[in-house]
Amino acid sequence: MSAQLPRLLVFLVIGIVIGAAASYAYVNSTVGPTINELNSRIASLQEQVNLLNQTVEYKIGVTLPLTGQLQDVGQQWKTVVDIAFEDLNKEMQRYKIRAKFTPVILDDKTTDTQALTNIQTFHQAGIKVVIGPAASFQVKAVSRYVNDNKIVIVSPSSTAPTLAIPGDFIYRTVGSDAGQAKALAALVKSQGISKVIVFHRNDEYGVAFEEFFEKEFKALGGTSIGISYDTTLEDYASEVAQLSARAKREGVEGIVIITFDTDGVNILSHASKDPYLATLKWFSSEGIHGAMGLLEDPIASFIQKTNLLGTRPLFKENPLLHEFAARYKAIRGHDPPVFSANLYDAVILAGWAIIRAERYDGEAIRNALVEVAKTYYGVSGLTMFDENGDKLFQDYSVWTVKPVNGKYEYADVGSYSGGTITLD
Amino acid sequence: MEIPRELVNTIWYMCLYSLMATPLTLSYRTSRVLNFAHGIYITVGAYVPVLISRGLNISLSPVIAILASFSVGAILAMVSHLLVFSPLIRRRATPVTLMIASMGLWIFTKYALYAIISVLQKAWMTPLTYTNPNIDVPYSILFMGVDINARFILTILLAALVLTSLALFLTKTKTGMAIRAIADNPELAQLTGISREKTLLITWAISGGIAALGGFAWSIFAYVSPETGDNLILQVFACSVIGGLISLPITLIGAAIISSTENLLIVFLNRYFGVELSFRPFLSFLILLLTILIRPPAGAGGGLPYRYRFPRHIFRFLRRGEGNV
Repeated sequence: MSAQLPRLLVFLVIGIVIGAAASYAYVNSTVGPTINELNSRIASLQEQVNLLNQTVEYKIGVTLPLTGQLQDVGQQWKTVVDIAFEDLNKEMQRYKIRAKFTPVILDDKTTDTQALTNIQTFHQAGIKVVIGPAASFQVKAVSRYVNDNKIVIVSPSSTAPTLAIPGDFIYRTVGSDAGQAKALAALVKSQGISKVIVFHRNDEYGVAFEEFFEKEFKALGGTSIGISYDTTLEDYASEVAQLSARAKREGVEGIVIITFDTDGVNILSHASKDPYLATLKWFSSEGIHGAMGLLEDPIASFIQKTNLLGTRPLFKENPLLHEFAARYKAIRGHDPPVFSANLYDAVILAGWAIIRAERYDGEAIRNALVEVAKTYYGVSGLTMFDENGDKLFQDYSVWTVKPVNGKYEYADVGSYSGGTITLD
Repeated sequence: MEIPRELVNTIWYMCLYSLMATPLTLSYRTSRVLNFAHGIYITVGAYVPVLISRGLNISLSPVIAILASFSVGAILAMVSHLLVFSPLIRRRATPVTLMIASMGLWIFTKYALYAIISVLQKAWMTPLTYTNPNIDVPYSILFMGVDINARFILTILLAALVLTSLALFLTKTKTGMAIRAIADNPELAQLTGISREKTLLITWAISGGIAALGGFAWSIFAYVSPETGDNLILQVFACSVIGGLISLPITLIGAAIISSTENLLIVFLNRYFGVELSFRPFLSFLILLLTILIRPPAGAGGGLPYRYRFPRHIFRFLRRGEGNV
């Protein structure tokens, strides 16, 4: 017995060690975490609570034409962007949502190449929602990139019907020109004009608008002749001279211009020097609306002489619009230019879409954007999108330039609804 | 009686391009710097009357506008030479280096101008990125029962006065002859006691000033933006290249050719062959390309400066352009 005692003691120690290890494992698996684990979990939860209490900053890209052919209204749109972001952040505070939206504004020079560069820059910065670009040819230039990389773009002013494509990542808070061409054709016919020349930009916007206008005007019994001009030129004196000669040869009664602001101002400044063109009636799309050059002589006087009327996307009876316009005027000293309401709503929709999205990625934000727009009534009215991502309900107003207290101002003098033009 | 609009535009553009292209030819001929910042002098000249009239909210006298544009353009060109070109020339920089330096100068001054306009626009609460000056010249005047565009007449008179003065200056004054001597043979001119540095400075001042006057003339013709000079520079280069970049009289002919192409030839092609008006810039650049291929400008196709040769008895006055003016 005494000889076996040491062996028994060794087996006893081994048994105790194995038993202790087994007991430890059993206790941990069934009873729960240790103090250290508990502390670590508490710390992680605290971090999450801290995150929930922190305000999350979301950046929204904004690509604006601060220079180039749309620079006149582009500079004014920057004020709209500032107002919209201010209001969006105030809404977040009002609803106690811990989110803050910051605009990242880049100038796209009203060119397609710079617009694409800006989108790429936003993408590299991790931004998933971009407001803009403004022009249809720019939207076309960025469309492949944004669709491939799932970046949601919300353009407030691209209106070419050729860009109405379902299932992409491009949304437009303005109706396509298919609707405005109808309104403009109705306006021209309502003024007793049956034969016009449509003098239009040779780009996505101008060509598409002219095609739709010709179709609608023909349906109303009118005839239109399209003349396009190069959009890259500094001056259009030669083109306007040709317009005058052709108008005389064809015996037209009116001229319809489809332009942007800078080229439009240039064209009207040369037209004002032509005695024959001053005898015709002039009409315009929304592209030139907001250009400051129209409020000064000789263009302003030319507009009075020719009774120039234009159409633009606007729901002019909207009280929210009046409120917004008053705020804008207090800052800039004049009424907001065309597409301001659409731009404002684009920013608000983008912000709420980010909040409503399950996660910060393009697809989730896109889905959320469509849902938010279904119930949002903004400065531009109902913002619901159609199947192509364009504004479903778009009203149009009739605008002109009028003398008011010794100065010239833009004025909305009528509206288009249900196929009929009503002038005030 | 109504003058055809195309003819009015042709003459108007000819005056504008003459004012813009002649100083480019003069500056290249004298300094051998192909100055890509030339468009900025045009833009600045166009903006000076805009900023004065909008800033002070006055209707500016054309005489003051002209003097102000010329002065600012001249100063800008002199500063460009003193700070950029002169140091590089002293270090014997190649023409390519000088051209690249001029591109850098162009980009720098363009965005400096953008910054200034942006600040002023905000401060004065008035749009300045696409505008025109408030000049005390009516848009039209009645002369013997005919409605004439007063700004058109002013542009013609300005171009005639400036170009005649330039011709007289270069041919009748000591400084003008010094400029021509430096242009023809700088080493020999210096041996005769002509200061190259001083002469180049004066040349740049004149070039910048006249280009700025071209900008002023543009501002009463159309609207002005910070891109104005850049958008016109290729047509301006086309006029100078037709002049071989050395002959001032032939540069004027180049101005006539380009303005006729843009206003008369395109009309002809549009009316009788249905060519779209959008092809207008293509025609100007086609002429530029053909000129470079057929009659390359100075230093290009062979090393020696190109000299125009004209029959003595037909173009006697143009022989003075054979490297002499």
